Amino acid sequence: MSGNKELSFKISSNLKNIIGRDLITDDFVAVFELVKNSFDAYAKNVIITFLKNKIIIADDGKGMDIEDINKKWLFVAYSAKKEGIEDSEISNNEFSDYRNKIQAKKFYAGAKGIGRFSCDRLGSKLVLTTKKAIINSNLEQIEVNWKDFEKNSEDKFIDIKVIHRTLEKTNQNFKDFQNGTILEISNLNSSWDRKKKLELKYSLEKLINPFEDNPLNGFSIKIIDNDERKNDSVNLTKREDVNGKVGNFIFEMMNIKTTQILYEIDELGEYIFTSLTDRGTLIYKTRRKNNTEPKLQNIKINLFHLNRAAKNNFSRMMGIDSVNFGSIFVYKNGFRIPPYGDYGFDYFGLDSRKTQKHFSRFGSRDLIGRIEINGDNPNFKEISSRDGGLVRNDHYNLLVKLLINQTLQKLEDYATKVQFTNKEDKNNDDLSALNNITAKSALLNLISNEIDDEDIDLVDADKGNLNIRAKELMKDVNEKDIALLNSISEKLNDKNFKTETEETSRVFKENLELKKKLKEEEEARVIAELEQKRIEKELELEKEKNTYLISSSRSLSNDAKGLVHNIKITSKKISDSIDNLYDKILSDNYSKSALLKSLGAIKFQSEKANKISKIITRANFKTDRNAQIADIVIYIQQYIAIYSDIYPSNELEFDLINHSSQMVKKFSVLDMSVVLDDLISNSEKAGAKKIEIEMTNISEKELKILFSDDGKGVDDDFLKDEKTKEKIFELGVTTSSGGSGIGLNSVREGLKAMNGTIKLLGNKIKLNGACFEIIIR
Amino acid sequence: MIYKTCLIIDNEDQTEEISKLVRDARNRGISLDCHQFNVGNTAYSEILTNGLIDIAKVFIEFKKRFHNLHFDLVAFDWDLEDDNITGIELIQQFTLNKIIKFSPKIVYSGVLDDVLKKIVEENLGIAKIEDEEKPYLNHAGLTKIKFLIKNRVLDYLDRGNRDSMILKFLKEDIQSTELIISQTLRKHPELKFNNNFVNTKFNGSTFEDLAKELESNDSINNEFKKEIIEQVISYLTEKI
Repeated sequence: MSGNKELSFKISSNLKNIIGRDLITDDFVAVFELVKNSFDAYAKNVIITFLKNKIIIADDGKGMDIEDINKKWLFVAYSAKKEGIEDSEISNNEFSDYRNKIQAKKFYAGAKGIGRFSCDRLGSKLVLTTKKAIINSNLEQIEVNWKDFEKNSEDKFIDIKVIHRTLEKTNQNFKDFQNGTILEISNLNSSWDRKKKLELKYSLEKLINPFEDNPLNGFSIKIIDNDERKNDSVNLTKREDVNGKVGNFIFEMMNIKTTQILYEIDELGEYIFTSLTDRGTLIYKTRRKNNTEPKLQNIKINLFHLNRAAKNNFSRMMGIDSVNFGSIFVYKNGFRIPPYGDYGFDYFGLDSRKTQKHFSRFGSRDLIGRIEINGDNPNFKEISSRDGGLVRNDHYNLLVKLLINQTLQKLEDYATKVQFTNKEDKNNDDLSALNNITAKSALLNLISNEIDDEDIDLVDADKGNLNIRAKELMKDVNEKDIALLNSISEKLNDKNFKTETEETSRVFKENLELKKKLKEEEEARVIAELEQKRIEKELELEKEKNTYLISSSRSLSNDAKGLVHNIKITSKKISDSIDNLYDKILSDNYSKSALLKSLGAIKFQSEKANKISKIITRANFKTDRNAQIADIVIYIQQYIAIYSDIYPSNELEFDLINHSSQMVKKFSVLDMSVVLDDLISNSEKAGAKKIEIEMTNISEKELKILFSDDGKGVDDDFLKDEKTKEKIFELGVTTSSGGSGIGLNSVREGLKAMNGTIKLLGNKIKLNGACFEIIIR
Repeated sequence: MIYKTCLIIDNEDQTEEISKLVRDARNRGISLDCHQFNVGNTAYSEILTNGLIDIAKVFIEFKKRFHNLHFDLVAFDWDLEDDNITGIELIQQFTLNKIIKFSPKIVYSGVLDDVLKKIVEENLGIAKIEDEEKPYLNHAGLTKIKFLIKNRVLDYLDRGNRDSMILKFLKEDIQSTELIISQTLRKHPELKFNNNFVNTKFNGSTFEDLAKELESNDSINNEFKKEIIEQVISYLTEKI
């Protein structure tokens, strides 16, 4: 066995591409990295100058000497920042500026030691000129031709040389250069038109956290491009100029009134604070213990919901729609981590989440905000290419979860449950549209739910906003609202607010009592009114009863008039007949036949009156006429046809035989009806089941009717001769048991009135029972 | 007991009613001879043609039945259940034909108000008078109401009040001079006046002839009335 040998890695010159242009694939990201490096070098100002086929990035940072260049800049993948020795000389340095000393404790924007290779992305040639910020420092210059690394991949990386020179301190090109680093990148790999330069500018705006009041302690970026000056001068706003300072776009400074939520995990990771503010008014602020797992710390999530008014204001001020500006950005220690927030990149899945509940969720178009990862948070790492965001690990996943569930969801709840109670609110930049009991009641509910957990403290809330004691609100307040207000007051632990709430409760109870009392009084009033109406009505009825007999102004329908007419006639006849009968009996001046005659007449009239009530509804029955011109044949046919309707208990079968006969004359339909009734009644009493009525014209002016039944017929005593047959029509003579002896006499009298006669023919003439012959002329 | 006569013209049979009326009259000290004329009754086909009242037949029948009878009161039913003739129109025809000319008449109806209402309603119009729309009764309606007023119709009654009002009228003994004269003349139709009249027209006629003349000629009637009264006064005046 041979002994162990030591070998070592060789590095191909191709490494340059791997960590340079192939890694940093975005020109803007390349510029970002170089700007971040300037920041990390304590620069206050960075100037990006565009020349023909050249970009110069110059800063006024601490610069480098040759030792720094050798030990740090040329040491690939070594990060003094990461090692923590980047600024070891600071304390010994002449940097006496207090701010800078503070910055010594800051966190670095770049930390991987490869950011410098961003230059390769931008152009193939780099001239780095640097001067350290110490007394009597030299002006060092490095010249790198990145193409040298591309000639042969078999060349070793370390064998590719870069040119170094120390320039004269009096070099005219750098006579004003005090300290810092100047990167001159030439042989640019892509063209930079005006549009691209402006896009760079807009990206640089967001590079630095725009949500801070004094981001990165006043770090400033400026762009210079003399060729673009002529185009800049016609623009309306400075933001559309290429030349000039990259605006520290500070969102809060725009004073756009929005709804925002701030979710903070403090520096030590002990507590979580959540504050909801709506158009300048704090809605609520809560605190709870931080029980995130894995434990997060020094995190801020700040979201702004732009309503219609806010979006319009934003567009007007920025000259760009908020949707095109971006949505939720991520910053680590002050520097943006792209591409979070860029238009079209929905890394947090907000838009797909919105599609599930369109009207109650916000998407990237509705929000602007940022996630800040501050301090020492090594678990949040940027992907090396610098344009893929953060590494997806447990910390990152938890962060996204907190964004959605603990921040965005709460913002959405406030919007949908409180703001949406009034459609007008979306057009307002104040809370006036929510100054109603519906919105306030919803707000009380919201806050109450928010602090439902024992572990959650209510740190603050806007008492004015929770005030529901205004008169116009109190009238609609309910018990639940008061209960919620009381529970919030307990949690808030604010003495003044508690007093106010107690007063509100008291007023509410008073109002409730008053309402109850008013309701009772109203109910009593209604009852009293009803009672009064009832009494008045009874009085009216009573009056009506008493006035009925005096007043005769009622108007009657024609049918009613006809009925009155008939009733008067009939009732008078009955009354007078009875009077006459009475008189005869009293004066002992009567005979049996006279009595029977009177009674017959009375019965006939009463039957007529009864008949009116039965046939009144029949069409064509003239109520005002006892007699009318009609066809007797048709009347008999129709009367028999409806007989069962008039007498429902009837079980007789009728057989009508009409030999094309007719007899039009004036006759009393009531009399005819009574005649038919009496004849049919007779047949029924004789046990008949079937009646046959045969009608024939003997002559033009004579109608013969044969009325037959299948009953037991007339007693033989009445059939001896014509004379005995006539007896059957005499009053008091009855042919059936229980008969009155009036019926056939009434029949004869009734027929007489219409110029008719009746006689008994005998039994078994047509059917088994009696047969009568009626002649009407 | 005073003696009175009356006639009831009604399409319905009034036998029972008349029986009671006569009895009631007797109780009031009136010996009442009450007749009925059933114009329009279906059983009375002698005065009907095709079921309708035939005026010509009515006159013939009336003269046949009630010749030489004078009535202290004639009661007409308004509604004879005929398409063409009402009680009032019958009165008009009777008057025109000088039948029961001097007898006081009453008209009764089952629904009296409607008689007048009907005349008004059927003849009411609206006209613009002095820029105002006002209702007015047209000529036909006026004629009918005037007609009601004329023809010596004493009263218009509800059917239910008829008999009591008949008795009241008979009791009050409202008679016209003409009727008294006519009734008196007809009591003794064969007698003659002495020729003592100033107006020689009246000399030589029998009572019956004179009665007829007076009933048919109003001016003769007035002359006779005047003459009779003057003669009676002259006769009864104490001689100076």
